[in-house]
Amino acid sequence: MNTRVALFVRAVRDPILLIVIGVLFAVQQAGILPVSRTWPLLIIVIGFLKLIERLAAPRPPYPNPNWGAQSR
Amino acid sequence: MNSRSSLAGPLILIAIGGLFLAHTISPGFDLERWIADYWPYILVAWGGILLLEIGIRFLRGAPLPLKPVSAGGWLAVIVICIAGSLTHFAHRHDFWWHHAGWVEGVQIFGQEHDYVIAPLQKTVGPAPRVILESFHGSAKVAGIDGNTVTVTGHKAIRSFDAHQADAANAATPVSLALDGNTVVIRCNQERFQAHTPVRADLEIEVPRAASVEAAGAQGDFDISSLTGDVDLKNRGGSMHIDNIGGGVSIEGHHSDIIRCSGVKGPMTVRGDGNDLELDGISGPVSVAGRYLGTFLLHQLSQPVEISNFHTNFHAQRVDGEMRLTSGDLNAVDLVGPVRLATHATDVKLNGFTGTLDLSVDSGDVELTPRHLPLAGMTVHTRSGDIELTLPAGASFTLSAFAARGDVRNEFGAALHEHSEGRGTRLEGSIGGGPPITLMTGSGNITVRRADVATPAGAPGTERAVGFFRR
Repeated sequence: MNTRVALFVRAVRDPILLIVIGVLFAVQQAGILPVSRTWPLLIIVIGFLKLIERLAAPRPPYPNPNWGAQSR
Repeated sequence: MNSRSSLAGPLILIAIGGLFLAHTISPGFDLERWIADYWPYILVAWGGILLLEIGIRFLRGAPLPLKPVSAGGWLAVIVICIAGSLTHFAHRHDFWWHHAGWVEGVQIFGQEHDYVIAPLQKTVGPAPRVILESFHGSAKVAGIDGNTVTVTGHKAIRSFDAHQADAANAATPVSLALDGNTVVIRCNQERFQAHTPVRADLEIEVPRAASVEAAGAQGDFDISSLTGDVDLKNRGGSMHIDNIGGGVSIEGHHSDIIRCSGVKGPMTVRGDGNDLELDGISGPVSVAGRYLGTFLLHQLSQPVEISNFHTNFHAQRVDGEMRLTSGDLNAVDLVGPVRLATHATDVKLNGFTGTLDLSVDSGDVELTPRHLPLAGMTVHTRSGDIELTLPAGASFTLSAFAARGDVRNEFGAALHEHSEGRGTRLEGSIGGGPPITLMTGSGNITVRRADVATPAGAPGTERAVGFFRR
């Protein structure tokens, strides 16, 4: 995947977090589950987005002489 | 995307302006209530708009923002969450604010002046209609033998000086008016309430066959020993109704507790509050409300229809009791057909008869129908274990499916277990009895064999008892 996709994933992180926070509070107010029980979902979502970000912009696992001349 | 390029801020501002405009144009629109209920959607909308903008920029090949929400934006999110949560909790009836009360808060440094209400009495027919007009305070209404209505009690007036309290007392006389068969008790508090809170605590005696209509606020009602109907409206406080021959209708908001026992006629309860207890009701019972505390039904001898938050319950009778608290529903000796749909609640039903239709969104289910013959059952939980304990002599046709879980079977080879996808299915028939369908989306199913509680001499008794003695 290219750098632009990685930038896109990084850019949508904040809005997605906003939506998740809003949904968690909405779920609490509907009397279904309190935020005190659902907050770990935020960490999972952050981790998930980070993961996609890393996958979108892969780095070589070890120095590759052929890639040395290329800029990231 | 900085705050200048994003449309989220202006759009949310327009929406907030629209809400305030709706409030000013139409006073019936409760803006505070609306914000208390729906504020999380501001965050969802904000995130949605940003997401849309970033998506459009991505598709157009425009530069993408590194930090769509700035540090100040996140600070605003925290402030919105704290303020929204506080507004929401402040609107809940069990919040301390509602118990403190505005008037009491303002007058907290005043002194309470106590005045005795001169006894009032009227001779009436044997079955009068007694109306207690809306007032602040408590009332104890009791049926007596005889044909008089008597009102006694006292007034509590909170004021900074005794003269003002005296004036408030003089301006708010308690009156008792008789019009045909109707008796009206009036506290006249509205004449002085704005300046000095006047509270009346009344003790009223009425003929036993009287029917009572009362409306009050910030006080307790205690109504007992009547053969007529009771119609009660109250805001705050508690309501105790005991030994009523007619029907009872209650509309209560922010109630601490509603406790009704020994009601012979139909009973309806509407409103919201903490605890609700209905005990020994001979007529049909209908409850529609939002009771957050303990919800207790005990010995209800006619059909029961309950709608409380996410729980809907119907039973033909409640011979034992049903107790619903936050997260748990325990019932003993229900008579079906029983229909129960609930959410995030563990359900335990012990000793029910008749058909059962149970649906739980998320929660464990424990069922022990102790009486034979069994009736049909349909049990579904989206997430949770199901444990069904059947009398050893029971005949039934079982179809159980744990979509992501295991099945345990204590009825031996008569029930066939096999894997299906990531789950397990258990099927089979014992004695060709009624259908029992158990289904869990995620969890285990256990079908146990228990002792038998059939009437003496009923088929299967000896065999089952013998089995357990071994």
